[in-house]
Amino acid sequence: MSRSPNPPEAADPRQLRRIIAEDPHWLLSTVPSLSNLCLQSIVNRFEERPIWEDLSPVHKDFVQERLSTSMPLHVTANLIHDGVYWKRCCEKWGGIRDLTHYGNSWKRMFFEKHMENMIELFIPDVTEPKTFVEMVPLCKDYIKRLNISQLLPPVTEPQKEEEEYGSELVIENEDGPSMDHFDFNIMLDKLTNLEEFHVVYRVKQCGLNFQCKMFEMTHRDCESLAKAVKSCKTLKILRLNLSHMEDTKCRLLVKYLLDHPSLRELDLSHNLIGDKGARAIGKLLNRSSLETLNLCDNNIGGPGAKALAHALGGQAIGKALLNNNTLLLLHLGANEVTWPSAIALSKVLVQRSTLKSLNLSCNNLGVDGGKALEEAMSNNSSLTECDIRLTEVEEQSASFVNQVVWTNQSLEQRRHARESKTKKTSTAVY
Amino acid sequence: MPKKAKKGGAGKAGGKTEEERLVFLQQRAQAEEEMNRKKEEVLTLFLKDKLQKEESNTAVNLLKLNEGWRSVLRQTRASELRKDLTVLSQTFERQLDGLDGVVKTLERDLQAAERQSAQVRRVHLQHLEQLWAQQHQQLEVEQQQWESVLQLLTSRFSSDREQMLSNAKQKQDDLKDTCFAVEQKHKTVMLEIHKLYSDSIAAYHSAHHERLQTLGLEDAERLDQMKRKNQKAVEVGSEEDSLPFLHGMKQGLKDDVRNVKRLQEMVINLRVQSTSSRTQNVSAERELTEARDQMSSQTQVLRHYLRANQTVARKQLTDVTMQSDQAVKKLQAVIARGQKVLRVAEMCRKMESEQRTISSLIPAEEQRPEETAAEAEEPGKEPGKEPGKGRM
Repeated sequence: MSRSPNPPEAADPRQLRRIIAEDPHWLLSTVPSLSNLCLQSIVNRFEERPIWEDLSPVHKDFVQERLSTSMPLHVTANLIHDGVYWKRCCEKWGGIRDLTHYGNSWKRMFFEKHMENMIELFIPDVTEPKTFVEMVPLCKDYIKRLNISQLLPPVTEPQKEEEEYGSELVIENEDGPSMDHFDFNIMLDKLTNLEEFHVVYRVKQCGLNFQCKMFEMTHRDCESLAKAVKSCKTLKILRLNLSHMEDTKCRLLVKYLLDHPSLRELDLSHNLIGDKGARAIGKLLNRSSLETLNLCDNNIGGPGAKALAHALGGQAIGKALLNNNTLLLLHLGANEVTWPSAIALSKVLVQRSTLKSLNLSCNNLGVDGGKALEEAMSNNSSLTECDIRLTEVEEQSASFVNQVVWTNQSLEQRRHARESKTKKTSTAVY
Repeated sequence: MPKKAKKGGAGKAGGKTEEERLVFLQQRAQAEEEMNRKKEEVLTLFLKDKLQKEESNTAVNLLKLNEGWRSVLRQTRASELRKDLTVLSQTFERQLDGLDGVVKTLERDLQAAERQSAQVRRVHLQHLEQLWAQQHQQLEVEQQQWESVLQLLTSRFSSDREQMLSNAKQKQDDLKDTCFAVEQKHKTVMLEIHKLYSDSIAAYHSAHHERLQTLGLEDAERLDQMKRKNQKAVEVGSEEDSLPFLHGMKQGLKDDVRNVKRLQEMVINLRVQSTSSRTQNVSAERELTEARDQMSSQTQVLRHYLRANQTVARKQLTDVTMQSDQAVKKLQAVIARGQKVLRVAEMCRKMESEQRTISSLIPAEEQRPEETAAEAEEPGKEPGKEPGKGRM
């Protein structure tokens, strides 16, 4: 190979090879450095021999960008820290969501999505639960929120009408599938960092195969879910929507949720909870530390709302210790609350001092309910949000309530300003 | 025809008295007629009664017949209707059952549709809630940004405003100070000017008197003009406020008086000198022009000479170049010839060597043509050598 007699003045003469000689193996690109070649071989054989801890940060970045995204998780989960590799794994699925929703961590996003996908595509009696048992120890440190938006029911095979096997068919029908939907018991107690859990019992994109059963949770499901939730000690937010939850299931769930150590927010909106369920939830209010309760779009009527109000307010002074002291938000919109419950709730408002937000919209409170609320609000100074739209109260009551709410809001802001000032002064002193 | 018979009878028995017979016949006829009439009347009455009875009977019978017919008809119709009833009732029952089934299916469909619509509504509500929460978050972010930017801007503007206010205040103070200082200066300068003015006027009066004495009345006009000029100068000087200029003016005014005398003497001397120098200049100019003309003529002559020499030299050069070209060409031809000769010589040598080799094989017979060839080669060699030597 011949080179120019006087190489030009450049820092790296290897980058400026101009003469293309008669060598058939000559390439225009420069020869890669030895460290890059080593790293490439590390990348190619990462599965058999994962070398990661010994690499310097620059080399780690190089490996991260080139490592195959289909590497088995038991190798990579605990080894590779948060960064470009997990970003590439997430991009494989396409449609990157908002990263701040996942706490700015690609690794967390990947694991949560992976687990959600596995659960959403789990078909009872077809998919092996072993995969979950293997996955859980790998990802339990990274999953903080599980948002499951579909759960597949078991596959029903068409029954053959043959008289010879008539008796056998009967026996098969009695057994039935072992579980109606995914059983969360096998994994929820092992996910030690889980704080939020949303679940919806429905099937997405069923098209013409619509069956009503695909959109309901059954009794067994409720029981297994309740047990699973009870076993997960770090759960803070539980959302169970759109699952056709009636009173019996609600009571069953509440039975297991009593005295849960860390539950802060309970969202059972868009179900079919009636008065008995509301009574059960009232009991729950007294025996746990709930801050937010969302029961919108259920069938709670007068007695149910009264039960909730009693749970919030209480009657005599002797029972004051049993009262709930932590509820901040109560959402009862789109139920069937009428004016007696409004009166009961207004009694609550007079006594309570921690309820910050109350939503009674889309109930038929009527004029009497509106007047009761008006009287109650005149004595209340802590409610900063009160939503009584579409409740058929009078304009006057609504405007009065709104005025009180605005004054409460300004009071709240002033309190905040004072608190921040006192905090500043106290820190300045120190 | 009883009458005819009677008449015939009467006619037959008549032989009696025809009149009695006639009357008898007539009476008998009349009585017969009356009897007939009565019989007829009775008959008609009887017949009428009978007719009436018959009519009533027929009416009654008709009624009975109708009743009987109707009852029979009713019975048959009743039986037919019962049959129809049973058939119809069965069909209606069947239809009712069908409709019941339809109603049930519709109920079920309605329930399913209601459930689906409720489901859709709930899902829609949930989505709306999520979207609303997202929008709320985004709004909060935007509001925070806006508030921070607003705070930044307000702080910047307030600081700018304070700065500008302080600058303005400072400048105002500075202005006041400078005004005060300028006013002070103005007063002092005005006093000085008044002094200078009075001094200068006194000086001028003295100068004026001196001038009048020295130069006489003829120059009075000129002096007046000078005075006026000086007064104007003084006025101009009084309008200006610079002290050094006024001092200079005052001294200059005093000096002017002396200078005027000196200058006048100097003027006369200079005039004399100027005339003499003019004559000198003129003569010098004449000499210089003459010298210049001489020089120019000489240069022209020299140029002519140069040009002639140049042309001659050019001609010589061209001749030389041409000759050299010709020589070069000749030499090149000679060289070519020489090279050809050399080549020929080489070839001859080669051929000689070949011939020698061949001749060594075949001696005697071809020696002579070899010698002739060698002789032919030798003269060829010689002219080849000479031009080579000539070239060298």
